[in-house]
Amino acid sequence: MCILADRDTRVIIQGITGTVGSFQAKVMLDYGTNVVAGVTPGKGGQEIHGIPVYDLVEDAVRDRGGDATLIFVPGPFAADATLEAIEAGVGLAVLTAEGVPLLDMMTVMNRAAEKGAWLIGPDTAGLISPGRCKVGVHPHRLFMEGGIGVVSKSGALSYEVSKALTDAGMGQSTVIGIGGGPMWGLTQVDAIGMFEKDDETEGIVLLGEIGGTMEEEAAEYIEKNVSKPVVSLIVGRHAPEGERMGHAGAIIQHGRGLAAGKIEALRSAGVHVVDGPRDVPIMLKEVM
Amino acid sequence: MRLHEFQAKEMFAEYGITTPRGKVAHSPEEAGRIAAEIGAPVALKAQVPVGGRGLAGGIKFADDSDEAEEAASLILGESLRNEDVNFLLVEEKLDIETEYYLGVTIDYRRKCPVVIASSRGGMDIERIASEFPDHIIKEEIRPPLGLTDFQTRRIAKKAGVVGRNQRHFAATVKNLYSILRSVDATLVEINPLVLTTDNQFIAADAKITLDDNASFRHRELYSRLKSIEKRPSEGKNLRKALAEEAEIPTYIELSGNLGIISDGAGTGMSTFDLTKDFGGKVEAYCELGGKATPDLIEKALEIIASNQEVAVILINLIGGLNRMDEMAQGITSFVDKRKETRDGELKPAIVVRMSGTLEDEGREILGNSGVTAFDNIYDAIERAVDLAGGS
Repeated sequence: MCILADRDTRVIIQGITGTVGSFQAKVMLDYGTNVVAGVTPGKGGQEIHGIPVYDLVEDAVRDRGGDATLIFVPGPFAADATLEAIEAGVGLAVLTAEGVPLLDMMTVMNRAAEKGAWLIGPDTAGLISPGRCKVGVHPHRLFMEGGIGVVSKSGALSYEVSKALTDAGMGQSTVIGIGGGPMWGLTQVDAIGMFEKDDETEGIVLLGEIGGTMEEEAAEYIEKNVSKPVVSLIVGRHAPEGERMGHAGAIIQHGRGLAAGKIEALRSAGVHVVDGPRDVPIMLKEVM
Repeated sequence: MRLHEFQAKEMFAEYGITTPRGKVAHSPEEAGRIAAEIGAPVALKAQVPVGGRGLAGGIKFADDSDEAEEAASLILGESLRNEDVNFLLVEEKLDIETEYYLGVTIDYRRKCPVVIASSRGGMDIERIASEFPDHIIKEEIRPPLGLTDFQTRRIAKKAGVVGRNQRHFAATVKNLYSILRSVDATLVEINPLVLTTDNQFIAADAKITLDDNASFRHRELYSRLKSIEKRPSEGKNLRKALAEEAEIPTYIELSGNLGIISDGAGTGMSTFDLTKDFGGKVEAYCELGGKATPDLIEKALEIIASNQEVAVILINLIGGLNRMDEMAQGITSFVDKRKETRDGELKPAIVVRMSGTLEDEGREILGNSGVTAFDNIYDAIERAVDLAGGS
């Protein structure tokens, strides 16, 4: 098995008629993702690459079903699009947009929790279960089916490390980007918990970065709950204090959020921490 | 975006929070005149949107207009934590009975706004938290109730405010929260909130940070706030301003001779770490985000290349959303123009690593301009560090 999305997962794409949405829809279809519908307000009745387009998410869910939605709606409108999907009963929403107002995001996340829906993002590449499906924008050539579960704040870093794993002959069960923060739906702890329970996943890779305390929380969780080997890479080891390093959440402030503290917490929880992408498969082979 | 203190105080006044009498001065003479108008001891405060102003010498006091003029001449034109001081806020000095801390911010873990208060105002909140953890009060604001009146009274009570003053303190809490909601702020803070010897609450300082993700809802406010900003004239500050204008998500300058451009935050930080591990010295760091266009990467290259310190630019691209054919177009456009104006020479040197969406198409475009791209990031880093003079 893989986690969160499989071959049968019925995927809706919101914002499918835009340049990015339509390009990525084609890539996902070609990859074998079960894309059942697209949604763009006012464009209901059209087809994109043979995928029927609806005005409303609830119409798409009624006619075609919908287990997951991948949202390519720009920041200012993304929170509302996500609420629409959650209210229509979609259980997994992947929000790619950057620049979603934080007060709106708060409302959406609280609502998702109430409805028991998973929200991945915002500012995320989504997820891929290599060889089966992807609900995201991953360059899938770099990925291969296998037994390593990867969770990463950064999408690009998950591509980089998966490429290193694939080059070393180690495939992946599911690779999840959770987004650049500073507020997250699905967390590292959530993903690690799912990988621990997943039969196919034999080893777990945690890709973290400076800022916040999520990696420390993951360390605490792993120590108490995880039996599978965990290898981690924390980036921003040399990042200067007070500068936002590309992600909204990636900033060292008043000496807090440093890579060193996260690395120490993870190590003392029994996690194998490495310095760079190429060291991940080497370490995994050693400890598995 | 962080507001200047005087801008935040103007907003406070609009929302019914009392601020000290005062005005903005652009010259020592003007500072002297304002001090004379106030007719009492004044505080002169450099208007730069950074923390730690007091410790850095950005706040001075004066008893009369002559002293104010002299103090102003010491602050104006100086640079404070890398920010030029172009103007001051001159305002009445308060007679302090008690200094409180009062702030509203967003708790990202709990996913709700939170009010933070303390009777230990006047030092920054991180210091209060570490030195006086028992003197910090937190109150979460949860839907659907929002911030209730009894919560604001509870905050006042717990912060040690007594008697009728509780009501005034509670009203200030309410006003701060109104600001947060109305302008999409991530932080609205008064530190210190001064209780004066004549029993008035006055916001001696003011800090507001806006959520730029919501700027589309507040265009008029943003254009008003930005209208006072002067474009820095040269060097690092100019390059930073150009990067901001080009909407490059992250542009940072450090000290070295290597420039780094990445199209992902995690890969950017990883490249930065490994470059330093391999002995490279990073002068400029630039991250393009997941919506990079040919024009954006070309602008980033131009800005970094205009920095004379930079000998080599290392570009690490591993695109998901970003298309490598488009990135290649931006790079070759820069390279071709650069070579044309420099008799075929390319300086600074460019090292490209390219992988991901449409990478074959990207490599072909690069090849037509004589640029080869590495597939492995380690090879690219080693090459760049080597070209930059080694470790």
